[in-house]
Amino acid sequence: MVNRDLDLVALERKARLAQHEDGLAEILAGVLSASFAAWMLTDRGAWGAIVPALAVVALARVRRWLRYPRVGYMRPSSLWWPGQGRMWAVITVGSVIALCALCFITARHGATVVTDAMMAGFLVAAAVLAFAVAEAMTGLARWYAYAGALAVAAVAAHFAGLSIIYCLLIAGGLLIVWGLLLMVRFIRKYPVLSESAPASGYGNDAGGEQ
Amino acid sequence: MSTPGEPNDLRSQALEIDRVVHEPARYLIMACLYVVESADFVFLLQQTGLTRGNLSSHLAKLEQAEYVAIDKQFVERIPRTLLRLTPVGRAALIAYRQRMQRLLEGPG
Repeated sequence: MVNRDLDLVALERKARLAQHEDGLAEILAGVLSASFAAWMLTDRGAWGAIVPALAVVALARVRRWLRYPRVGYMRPSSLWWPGQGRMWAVITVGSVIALCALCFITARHGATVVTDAMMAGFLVAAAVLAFAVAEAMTGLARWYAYAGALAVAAVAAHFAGLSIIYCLLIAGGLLIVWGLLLMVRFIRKYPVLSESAPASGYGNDAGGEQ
Repeated sequence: MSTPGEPNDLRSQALEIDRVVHEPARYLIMACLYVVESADFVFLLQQTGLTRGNLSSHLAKLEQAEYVAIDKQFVERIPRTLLRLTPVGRAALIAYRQRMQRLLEGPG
């Protein structure tokens, strides 16, 4: 039966999702969001450039140590990636909406007038678009939840008279904590299966050829 | 002379089934590799649920049939076995799926 009913699309999705359960993407998104907010608040270049760059390098190394020995390494296929079309659709639609919004604002307020509210709106829209792209790339629906939560928080902050920057800072902090929780769950769920590990722990039926 | 859909035709199609792909574990391995560019041994262990010995022996069979290319390398002194489906293996998997579908649908 398996020979007839094996769904290759579901198999591809399962393979891809296994690579994104460790919470590293959430931690990276959190660090980027928080460091961007810190940069806007303190005006120190280190927060805007050095911290994100260090985070990317550090998380790439952590991924090699954390993910590959547990769920293995795979290179996605350009032929078999149903999410690819969706990702480009999200980017295209998002860009068109952003352009339309820009044209609308420019026509209404003049080319040189950019208020704080507009800038905040752009920041939140960019963050929401980034989350939507992350969802399209990874196939994890929870990125839409992050985007929705951020949009709601931004609207709440606007009505409360708070700066949107704090919203990004808090969202970044929460994402980092959530990413760490996901990482702990991942470590508990997947034991190390590295190739150099002793074979006896995983069954020893060499020659079990049928 | 049998026409398509007749029992004789089905019999000949059944006899032409690729036995290398027909084994469920090997079919699963090939399907897992079909949807990715390449993957390592640990990834296949995780995805297929096979044991090390079983997976190794099936991979050896697939390599022998030239359906899977195996590339052993060291990444920071850690061994990594990268596997990918060859074009021959891809074609074999597609042909097998089509043939099985025709067979299971039957003459009706």
